[in-house]
Amino acid sequence: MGEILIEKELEFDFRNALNAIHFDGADHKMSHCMKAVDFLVEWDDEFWFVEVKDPSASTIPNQLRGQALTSFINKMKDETLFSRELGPKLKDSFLYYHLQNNLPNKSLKYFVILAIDTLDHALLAHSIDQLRSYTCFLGPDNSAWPNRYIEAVAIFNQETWNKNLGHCPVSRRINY
Amino acid sequence: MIEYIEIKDFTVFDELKTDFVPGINLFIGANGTGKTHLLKLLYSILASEFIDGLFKESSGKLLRVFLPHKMSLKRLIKRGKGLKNNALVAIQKNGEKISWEINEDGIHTKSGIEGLKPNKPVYIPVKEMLANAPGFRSLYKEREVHFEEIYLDIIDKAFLPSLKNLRPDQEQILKTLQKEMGGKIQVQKEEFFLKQKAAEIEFTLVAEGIRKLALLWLLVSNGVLDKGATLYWDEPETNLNPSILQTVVKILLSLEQMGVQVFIATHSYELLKEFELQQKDHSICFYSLYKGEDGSISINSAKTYHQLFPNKIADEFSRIYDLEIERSIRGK
Repeated sequence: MGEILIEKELEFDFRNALNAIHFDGADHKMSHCMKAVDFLVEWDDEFWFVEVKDPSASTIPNQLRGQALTSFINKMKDETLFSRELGPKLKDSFLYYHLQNNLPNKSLKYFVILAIDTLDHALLAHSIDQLRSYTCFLGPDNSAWPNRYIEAVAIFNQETWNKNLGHCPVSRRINY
Repeated sequence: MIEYIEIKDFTVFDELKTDFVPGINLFIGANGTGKTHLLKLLYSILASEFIDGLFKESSGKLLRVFLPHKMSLKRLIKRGKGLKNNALVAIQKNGEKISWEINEDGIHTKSGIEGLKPNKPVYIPVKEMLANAPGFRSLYKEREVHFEEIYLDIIDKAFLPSLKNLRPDQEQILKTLQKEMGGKIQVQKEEFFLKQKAAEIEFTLVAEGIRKLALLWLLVSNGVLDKGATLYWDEPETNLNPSILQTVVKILLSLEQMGVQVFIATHSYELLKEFELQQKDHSICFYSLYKGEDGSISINSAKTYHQLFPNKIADEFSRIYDLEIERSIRGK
């Protein structure tokens, strides 16, 4: 059964999914050597790896929020966000499931949400190109690997997530 | 400094009014919405020659900058629905309003001409001309060549000799440009060279993007771009790799600090975004020219790029992003 999953302040309503779990919790048991995406979500014919990045969360103390955002933007600029975090998280999570023999025979997708309002569509589109590159997502022309791999990657902000994935909306819960 | 313009029935414009900021004015808009016309109109008004506070020639500059067919002023008056006999242009400059009426006989000052002091306008056209400079001026003066006068003007300005003494802020700009170009600019007879450590390279062999930076270098070193000047630059991004745009923005912001008023027409997201990111403490305004439902051109302005509406550049990125998402989600 799908359920509501919460990552910091962002609440994802996956109740329409077949299954939705936190993947990076205590059950992972390989976190000393493998990175992990935040959620795994299973639908009738799709299986999603989902990573949530929320550098503007109000849980970050006020005095540190500007700093957190700047450091995040720097990671976008020098591409380490993609090369050291978003890329490896997907590759390790995929490998983990593959070694478990647990990858369902469904279309595999990697969705990332960057909850920054000021990310315009130009930057989002550019980020997708970088994510594609650092996840080794080669697309339909891939002839090197006969085995299947992820079929799609996408990056959303909160607004475009809700616009395109209305069956599992995200909302911000702020606890004062 | 130009604070305001009002245009009626001129070229593509039915009626257009807008304020300007003293610093950097950035215009976006689809092709055919009048960005270049607006720049050329402002330039040709301010570049007209004066004698004792009067226009030396009433319509020559406007005609030579716009080059209408058969040099007919009538062709600069908005055509289409309802026959118009004249166009009106009014600007406010340094607090004084000046207005003109343009009809087929000429350009007539309606009011305020006494307030229009000689100005130092500079127009940088889309096409870089320095490499073609040798002989161009004499060719232009002696023969009928179908080039807008902006091309001659910019070459004339580039050829002005360097100032003997430069202020530290001018030196700083030149240094920034030299770093990007890898050398200084030299003029020998009518030919420009990029003087690098090991060699002098003639401009025809220098990358067009670098030649654009070289033009800025010349205009700063000879004092053409200095306090009180207005700069009109049509599509600075042409032939420049986006990585050099940050240098261009830095230079333009330094010129703004120096007291140069800047008008830019652009299609470049990178250029606009760079301005937005560096805009702190600077006087910058973004304008969108667009065609309304009735086909007439309107203008909106905004203090930041992301507030600008309508924004054809952002719309195009949204379209590409939507296609990406569509492909990812629905496998199309």
